[in-house]
Amino acid sequence: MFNKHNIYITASVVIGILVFALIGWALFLGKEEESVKQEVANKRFLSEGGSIGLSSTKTTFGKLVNTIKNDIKKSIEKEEDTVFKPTLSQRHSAPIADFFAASATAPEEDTVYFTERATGHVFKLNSTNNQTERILHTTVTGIQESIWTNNGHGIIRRYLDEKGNIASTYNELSIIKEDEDQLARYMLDNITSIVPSPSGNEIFYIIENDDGAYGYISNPTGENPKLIWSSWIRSWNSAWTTDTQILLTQSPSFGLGGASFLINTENGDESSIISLIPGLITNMSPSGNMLIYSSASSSGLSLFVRDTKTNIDKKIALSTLAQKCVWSKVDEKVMYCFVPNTLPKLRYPDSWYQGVVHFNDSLWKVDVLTGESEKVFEPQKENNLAIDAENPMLSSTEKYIFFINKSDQTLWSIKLKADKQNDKIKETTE
Amino acid sequence: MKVRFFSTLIILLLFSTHSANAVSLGAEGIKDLNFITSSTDATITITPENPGPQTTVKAELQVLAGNASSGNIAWLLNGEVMESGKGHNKFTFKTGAIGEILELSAVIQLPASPIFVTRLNINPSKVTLLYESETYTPPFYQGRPRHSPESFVRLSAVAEIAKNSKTLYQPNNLIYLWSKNGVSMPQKSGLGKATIRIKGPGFLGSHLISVRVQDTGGATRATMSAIIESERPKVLVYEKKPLLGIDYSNALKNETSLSGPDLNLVAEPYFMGSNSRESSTLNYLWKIGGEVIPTQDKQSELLFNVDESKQNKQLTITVAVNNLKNLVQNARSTLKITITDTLSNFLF
Repeated sequence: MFNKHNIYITASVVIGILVFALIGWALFLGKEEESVKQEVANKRFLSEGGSIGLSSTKTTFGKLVNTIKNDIKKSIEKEEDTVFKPTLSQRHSAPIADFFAASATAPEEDTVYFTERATGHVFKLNSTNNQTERILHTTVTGIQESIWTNNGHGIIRRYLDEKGNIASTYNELSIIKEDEDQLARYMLDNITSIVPSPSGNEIFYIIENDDGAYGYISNPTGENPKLIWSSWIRSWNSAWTTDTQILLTQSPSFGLGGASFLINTENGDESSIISLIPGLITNMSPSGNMLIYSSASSSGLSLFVRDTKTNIDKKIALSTLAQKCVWSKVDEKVMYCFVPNTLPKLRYPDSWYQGVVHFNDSLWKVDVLTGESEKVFEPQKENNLAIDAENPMLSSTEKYIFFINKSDQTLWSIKLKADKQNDKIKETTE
Repeated sequence: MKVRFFSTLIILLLFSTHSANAVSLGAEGIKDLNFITSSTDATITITPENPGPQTTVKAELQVLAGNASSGNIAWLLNGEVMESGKGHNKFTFKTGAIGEILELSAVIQLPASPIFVTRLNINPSKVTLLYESETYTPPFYQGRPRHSPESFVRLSAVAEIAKNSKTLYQPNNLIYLWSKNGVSMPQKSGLGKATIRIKGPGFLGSHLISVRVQDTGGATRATMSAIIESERPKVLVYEKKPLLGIDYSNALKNETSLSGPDLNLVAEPYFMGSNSRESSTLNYLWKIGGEVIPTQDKQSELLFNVDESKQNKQLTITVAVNNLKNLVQNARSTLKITITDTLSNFLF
């Protein structure tokens, strides 16, 4: 038997429980809403005036919370998975003669030196913040080539004099002060080729005369030369590949057999490493263990990598010139190559050297052990630009690959890795 | 010696299963095998005749007294048995590096015949034949001077022939035998004559030049050949600017636009038989719209001013280059140039 009093008490308790439950539920929902709003604000997942209003939905609030939570989760995961996208930048808009990526002397230091073609002025570029500093003001016009010594502390600028002779002058950059001109030190006339040693404290240069070509090692000024090699053949391209080895390759031409020799810098001993390759262009890895070479004949332009210890060749499925490639110094199995998207039917490398043709390149990364390659960047597609890269060089951190665009001789880079700090570089995409 | 001894034992065991004669050799047989020199009754021929380093070589055994394919044959490299069996008269192997001299031996026993041993020493040798024509290319040009008709050609044989496992012959201690189109050139050949200079083929012609390099005993040889073909020289025109100099990266196309008012064009006579662009043996003739234009200091350069009346009009400029010493060497280039802006900054 229940009396009315008991019924009222029971009803009051139930109602009280329900009221408390409703208050608790309301508080819980309020916190959830604040939490979601905060997460949204933090992630900037939705703009403030976004089309998805929290109060405009017809779904229950709980479902909406779950939906947004899932979206946020997916967004975070997607952000983590996002692959870094390489970017192209023009680093100097006036024609340059050459550039040099210096070895880092401090962590994260990424310095590039370059010479302006019209003035001969030398600039120091901080790759990361893109700040440029003029470090040599002595004007020499019409620079065709420049060679850096001592990790950017010395420079040899090369140009044609009034008589048409090749003139070479040396300047030490480390003692140049602001606005101070320094007299250049003149080297011998008609040096056909100069390359620095890996440490940069010596140079190897070639002089031609009627009797052939003569190769000397000297200090960077050209003084104290020591004859280490000579040849009846005059036309050579050289590279000082390791401390004790200079790679000499007969100048290439379409369909003509070429050969390369390694010269021991200590005793002048000469050994053939490759021969009978038409249009041969070589590019040795920093350790000397691997050699990329290209051949050019009526059967096309082909790229190979040779293990110099076993003499085993592997074909790389890219059609380009070996001098459009650069080895990674961090990972020797990796090289980057600029590869023409299309190859007009001409005689290579002659037509390219003569400036008759310009390529429209893409950048590829090659694993020389597997022979696999992947396209890293396509300027035509990304920036609507035709780039014909020459002298590619990786910066010391290997965050950037620098190169000269042969068609206008300007300095460019492609960023290969993300910065941890904010990227302050003004990207030029025009 | 141990390897050789055990190899010999293996051979005898192998042969004993097939031949009563071999078994009867016994200890005497071992002694004989170790001291038999190359037999004139059996010879080894190899292909290529003068193998280089890391080269695959095919060897074949021939026996005067019978059919080698019916005999039991064993092949040894440096005394080690590499292959054996009945009728195995062919053997393929790979040479090592320069200086790794191989002794290839073949042991054969024909039915009812004594055992023959024949040996051949293989000294992997190499000669690289380099050549280039004495023709003009511009300064800083990275390519090779190609051959134009009747220009001179220089050739160089770089030989790598081992004297022993540690030393190579010096070029001056080797004999070089040169030939052109199969005909020997005795005056160019001889001891230490590693380089030659010859007149190259004429218009549309070609030369096959070969060199054989050998030590003074003639035991070790290496050969190489090259075909030299002739082609017409060509002239390309570049723009020269006061500060930038000659823009070798951009040869002017047949139809091109340039900005004025002053233009300086440079003709580069690729592969002409001369030392320089301004050689006295070269003659340049510049024309604008069919009218001959005299040059100033340098005949390979044309400096002219374009007034405003010619702006945006096409000029036909022709340059012809002749080699006065060699009339088959000539080249010509015709450009149609539109001057787009005569007031632009021409310095750069």
